[in-house]
Amino acid sequence: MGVSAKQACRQILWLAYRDFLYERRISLCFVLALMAVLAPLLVLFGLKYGLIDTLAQRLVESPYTREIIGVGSGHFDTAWFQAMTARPDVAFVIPNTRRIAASFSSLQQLATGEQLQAVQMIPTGPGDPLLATVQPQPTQLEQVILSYPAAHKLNAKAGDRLEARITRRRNNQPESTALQLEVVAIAPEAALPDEAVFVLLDLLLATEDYRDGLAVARFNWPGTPMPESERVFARFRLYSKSIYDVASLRDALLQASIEVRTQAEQIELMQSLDRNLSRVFWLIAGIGITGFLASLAANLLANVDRKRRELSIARLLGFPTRSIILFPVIQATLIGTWGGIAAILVYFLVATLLNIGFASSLQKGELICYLVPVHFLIAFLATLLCALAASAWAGYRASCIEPAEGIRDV
Amino acid sequence: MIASSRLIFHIRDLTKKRTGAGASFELRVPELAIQAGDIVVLQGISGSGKSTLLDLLALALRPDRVAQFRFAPSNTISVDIDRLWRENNVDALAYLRGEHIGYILQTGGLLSFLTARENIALSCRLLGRRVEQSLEELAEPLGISSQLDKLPHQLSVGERQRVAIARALVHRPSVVLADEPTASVDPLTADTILHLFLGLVERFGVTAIIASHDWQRIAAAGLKLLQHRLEREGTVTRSLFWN
Repeated sequence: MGVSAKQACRQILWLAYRDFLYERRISLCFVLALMAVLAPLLVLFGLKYGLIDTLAQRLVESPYTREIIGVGSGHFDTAWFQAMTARPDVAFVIPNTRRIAASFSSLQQLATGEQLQAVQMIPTGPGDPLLATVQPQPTQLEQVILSYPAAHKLNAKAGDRLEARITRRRNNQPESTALQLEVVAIAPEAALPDEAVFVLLDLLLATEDYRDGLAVARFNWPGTPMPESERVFARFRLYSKSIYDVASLRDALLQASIEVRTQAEQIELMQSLDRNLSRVFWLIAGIGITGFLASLAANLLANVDRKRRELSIARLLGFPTRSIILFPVIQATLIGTWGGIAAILVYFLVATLLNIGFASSLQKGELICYLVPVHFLIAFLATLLCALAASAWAGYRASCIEPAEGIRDV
Repeated sequence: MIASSRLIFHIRDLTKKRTGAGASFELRVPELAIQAGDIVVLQGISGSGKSTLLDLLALALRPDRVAQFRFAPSNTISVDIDRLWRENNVDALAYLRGEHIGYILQTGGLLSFLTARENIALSCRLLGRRVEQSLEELAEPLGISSQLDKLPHQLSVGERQRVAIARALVHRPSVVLADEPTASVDPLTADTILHLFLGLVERFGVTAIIASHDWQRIAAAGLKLLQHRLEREGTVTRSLFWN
């Protein structure tokens, strides 16, 4: 008996779907129009999330930007190093010897005989930011980690044995000594671009002592007996906790008359660039989102106006007002769903091309254009919500006019 | 003919104003009483307010002022339409339209995205009724049986009008309203369509109200003609209908 609301809603659903199919060309236009504004927004957000965040993260985490390099040689005693270690803004500090002493005269791969001359030695220890991902770390004096270029040149891998040679002049006579080393690991390519070998501090000190003509009991190297005085170090390796600590740490050192070189200026530059880029990004995104929502709403409103006659006829046939509102809402949902899916497909295509194109300048696992599922969900729900709101409003407006009005202007 | 003295429409002192650019139009119905089973003709030149009166009778247009507006689609139902409009109970009006009224528009008023069959079946589907048998029964005499699966734009104007007639009658309404049902077809086709329409109206015993600017064409017996007069008073054109 009579028109049940459920019956009316079911029929309206069917009508909306049939009309959407019948006007497939115009429906396609609406879907494409939605795609055309949503897809660039997704790509923009993908770039923001991928490129800017990846680069910012890389900058924040990169040991290079956090490194503070002493200029020239100084006199740093154990107390100074203890004080530095205790500072909350210091991530890693270790003594270093004079530059001239901090190298092996030669390094030879025992298995193949391949050789490198004058290999820089870098003191390392637990928590070294350059070797954060490297396992295992040296625990004994004879254990070393090769930098990637050094390992490449020596054709060495973890477990290989090397012979290191150290030369000195004593009493105007050239002398040299050798020791066997074990490669425990190879540092990743990104850690250090130079040919170098990471050693425990005591091995570096032994070679410095040997070069100074002193005797090193640990290795039975001959020479003058060790002096009693406290050891003073010429250099240090120092890394701040984060890039935000670099400037304050630099100022503290300058105040103690220690001249240092840092990336502080570049960091400030990058930070202001990042701030400005973010501002530009949000500006563009704001315009894009506003335009997107406005065009979606305008399209759907225009569509309802176009459907005035159909809606009036349906009302004349006895469809209740509330079910009439469903008609544009269902079509808006169809447009929103297909437009959203199309935009996501376009996004994936563009993102894949961008990621392939930029692959060479990215590290493993990094993507220049990248979104996670929750981003798509948010984009999709926002689209549907806006579509529903606009079409429900338009449908409500259409239902407010008397049924007779809509059929007379055709 | 239904032997009944029931008044399906009873209207007193109805006014509906329409204002256009500089001039205004006023439809006035002093008294209109239509018996169930009557076939009533509204005659008048175009622009005389026939369509407006039909829209009011179709419960699709809100009267400005009315002393009484009763609609009694069956012996057991009698509704105060004026009250429904005042209460803005549009769903109740939609319900009455869907169940008891069939409306044939001048231009057919078919939904372009549905086939002829689906257009005809729509009012029954809305009411949750089975439609197939009564649809075939109507399509056969109207001569559109072979056109049922075509879309409106694939049909001639005359065929569209026949589909509209079928749609207005298929759910067996109490009253069918026809607004210039033959105005957009040639005279020969118009005669055929009118003849078919009146035949069906008599067969179903349904009350019919037909607006036409050349009512002489409607040469059936038992037609009742509404009284009509146009008055002009300054910029106001007043159209009166009564019986």
